Amino acid sequence: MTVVIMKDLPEASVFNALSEKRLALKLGPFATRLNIGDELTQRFILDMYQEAQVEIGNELLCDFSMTVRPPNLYRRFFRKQIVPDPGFNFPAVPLPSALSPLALEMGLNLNVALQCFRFAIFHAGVVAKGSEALIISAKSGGGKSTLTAALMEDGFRLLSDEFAILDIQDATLKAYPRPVSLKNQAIDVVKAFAGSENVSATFTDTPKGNIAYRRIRASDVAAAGQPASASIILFPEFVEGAAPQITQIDLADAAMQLIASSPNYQVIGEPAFTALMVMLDGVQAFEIKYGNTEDSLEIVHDLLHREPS
Amino acid sequence: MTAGPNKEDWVWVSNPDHYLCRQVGDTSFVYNRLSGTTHIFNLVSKAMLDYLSAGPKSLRTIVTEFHMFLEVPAEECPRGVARRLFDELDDIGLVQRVGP
Repeated sequence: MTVVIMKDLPEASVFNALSEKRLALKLGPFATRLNIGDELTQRFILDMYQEAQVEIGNELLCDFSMTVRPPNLYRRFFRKQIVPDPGFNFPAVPLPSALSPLALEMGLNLNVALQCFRFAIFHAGVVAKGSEALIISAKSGGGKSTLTAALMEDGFRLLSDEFAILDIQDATLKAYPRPVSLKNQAIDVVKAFAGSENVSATFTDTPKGNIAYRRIRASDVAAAGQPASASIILFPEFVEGAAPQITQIDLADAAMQLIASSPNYQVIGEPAFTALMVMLDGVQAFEIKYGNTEDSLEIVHDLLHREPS
Repeated sequence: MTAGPNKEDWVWVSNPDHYLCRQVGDTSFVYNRLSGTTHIFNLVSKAMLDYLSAGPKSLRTIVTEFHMFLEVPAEECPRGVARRLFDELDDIGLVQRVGP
């Protein structure tokens, strides 16, 4: 079976393949075999990943496997719950079955964070214009995903909302353009500029409040094979009503923050260090503070047109 | 504080094969091949690493003569400072005792 775009396949064929572990999702440098029997998650995949490349069959050798399943037989039928099963033992807290798409997304993050060793992984969003990439690193709630989604509407292509994937051979950043995860107030903000039709239904009462996802775009998927080089590292902080503020920070501090966010830097060791040092060459790092999305975009424009200091 | 007991006549060296160093501005990133950890060194810490990598020295020599390596008067790099810099390298495993 050849690789096709998911939306070109009949719905029933996608559902069957997902249930029978015959669907491989090919996105950026990774192929993931999905095993999803839950209808809510199947519909989520069909919608949010409609532009993704998939292969149906068992021939493709995949990097990861991802199953969403009940934690035990009892929870299949009574007070239904699900857990992500990324193919190794991980103590995930079971979620109500109404939140099963979250388990899928969490599991796909676990795959990359804990099973990938050919790239150095850093917890950050990455967008690019041409081959020039912007790394957006923030603590939870810092506005990383909102800024990433806003920049997508501003002419940037999405490499990833969750991971900076650094190729340890050539120090470029790889794209893995999955749906952008939006939390709480960010959902309405992103709906306003990206269009409600591009955002999933909102999952309420999750451990992180309300969560929705911004659908992946055909253009990002098509460009996923093009690597990008880091030019700016941003540490954004959204503070309600704050005046825009830019502070250039020491590259050493930025690097150490990236290293601290990496799940596999210590495991890869020297090649990750060497690639990170090459990546940092010519890069500038900034902490930015802003009170609304318009200000954050203006700050990014300003930084992109600023002469390197 | 050192990683273990220390005497002034003990001889120490830093092995350049045990680390990788990359300079970014005034900061040096040092990757310790033995521990797999990355450290940030300022100019003076990096100078101590270079000083110890140049050859084995007793602790007494290190604390009394490091200022000469920096080409500054002794009062600008007191023994206590040199000792602390050495201890920091010892703590992160970048020096090893080679004698007596």
